Amino acid sequence: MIPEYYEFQNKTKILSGKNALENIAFELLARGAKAPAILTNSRGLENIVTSSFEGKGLAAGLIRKNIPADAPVKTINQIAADFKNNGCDSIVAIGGGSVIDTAKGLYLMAAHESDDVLKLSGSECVKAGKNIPFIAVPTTSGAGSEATLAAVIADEENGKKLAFLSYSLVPDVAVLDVKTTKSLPPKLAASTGMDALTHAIEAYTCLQKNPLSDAYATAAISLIGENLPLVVQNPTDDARLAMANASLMAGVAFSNSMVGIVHAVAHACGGICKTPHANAVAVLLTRCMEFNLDVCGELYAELLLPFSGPEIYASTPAPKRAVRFITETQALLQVLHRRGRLPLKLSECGITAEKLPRIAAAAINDGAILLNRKEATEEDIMEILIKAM
Amino acid sequence: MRQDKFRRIKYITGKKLLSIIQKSLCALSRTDKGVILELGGFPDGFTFSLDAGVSDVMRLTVRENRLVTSGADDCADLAVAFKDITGAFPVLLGTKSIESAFIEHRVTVSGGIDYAVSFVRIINIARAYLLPKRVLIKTDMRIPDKKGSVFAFYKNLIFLKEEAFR
Ligand SMILES: [Fe+2]
Repeated sequence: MIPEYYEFQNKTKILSGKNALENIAFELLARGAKAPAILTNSRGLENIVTSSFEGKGLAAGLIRKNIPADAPVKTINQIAADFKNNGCDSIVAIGGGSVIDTAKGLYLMAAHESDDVLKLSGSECVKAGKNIPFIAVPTTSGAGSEATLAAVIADEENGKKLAFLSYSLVPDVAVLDVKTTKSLPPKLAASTGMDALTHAIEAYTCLQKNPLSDAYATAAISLIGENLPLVVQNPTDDARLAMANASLMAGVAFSNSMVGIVHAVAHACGGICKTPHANAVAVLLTRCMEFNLDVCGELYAELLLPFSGPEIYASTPAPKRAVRFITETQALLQVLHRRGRLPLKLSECGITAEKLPRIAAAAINDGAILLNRKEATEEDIMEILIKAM
Repeated sequence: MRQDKFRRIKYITGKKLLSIIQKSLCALSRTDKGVILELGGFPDGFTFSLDAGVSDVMRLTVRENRLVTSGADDCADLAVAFKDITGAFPVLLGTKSIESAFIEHRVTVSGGIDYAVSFVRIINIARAYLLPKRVLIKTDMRIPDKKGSVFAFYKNLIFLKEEAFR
């Protein structure tokens, strides 16, 4: 069914495949950039990029390595000051979700010449600022930040994770090169892959879903169902590239239809216990699906086809498809646990029982909770958290 | 021309409805336990604004766990603004929920989204008092319980002068 009204945007140019990194120089020049700031957590990928600058009138204005996890406000404000002092004019972010979110914070500050990223928080409230070409190179296949309008930034002083939502945050170019996820350890491949799967499932079931986000979500789920076990068990370049594409597509999907209860609770776990986002999401996904089942059952049933393929879909009676989708997801979690040491409980992610009430109280105020198809109270979230311990 | 006339009617009616919502929120912050609980999560002095595309912008400040109206000069910590009155009007009239306005990208939010979520719940409580249940069942995804006296709410809404909420 077509919604009464919806909006969709995906402006990102995608470079996917072999030697995509080497084309970053061309993309920067095409956008009039001369001195990019490079933010990276990768080991050496930035050298491939900078060596392709040679002889083209391009030089890195700033290279910042070892970006801390969770994109803290203090780091972003510091990098933004350096960006200005070094005369940078564009941004290249090479890393996982935290690096790209840090770069988005930097982008906001640079484009609006602001001295504090906190002043720009909110949803669709910032106008287009100065033109700062922004290229994102994800090194994990999960966050999808290379194609989303969202940045989650840690306000460490208040123990909060703040959401920044703006179409101006969508990077101009996303680079999916087989080289970037080659050294991804199985544990990280497993957890970030589950994050991508969660983005797609929540995008498909949230209240803001629309036909275009559905198309991206189902395409992502199909690729993840096939390739996530492979990248953890015996990764090939093809499987890695498929997961990178799936992660981006899931990102486009949730960028336009948002996420729901899994992310609301995972953000709270991250804000209060510093739980890595992908681990929290992986543990919470099926518990939250069970909670949503009575309201989202039909939609879950539809997702069995892209996730498990036509044989399993056809052999499962229609009324049992929703539950089958959940059990198939649980089976995938077990494989990832065995092969990739993916945690299956919150207690394995550094969360203790006494923190649960604070997590539930924070989750109920997360923006994602508004878009979950089934209403959740603080008590409901406590129940989910207890089951997930 | 006809379009212009409709827009003007929406504008005038919207302005009146916004002032009723503003007064309702102030009244409920004195009588409804759900609203009082939500306000406990805001720092004292926190100011919200709601711009519905009519000339008046609703501005409320949290003072000692109650809502009071605040002046146009007060800078809002949380500013919710409709992109156009056509998006705001059904919400003001009660034929659409505030969540649906968020879902349809009809609003922008400046400030913490966690506060915006709490603000949405407060608005929903006010809707539960102001609108008949059969309307809410059709329009709202979440119908909160009323945790205060309906009589006390209407008494404050009708008989208290606006100055009482300053
Ligand atoms: Fe996520």
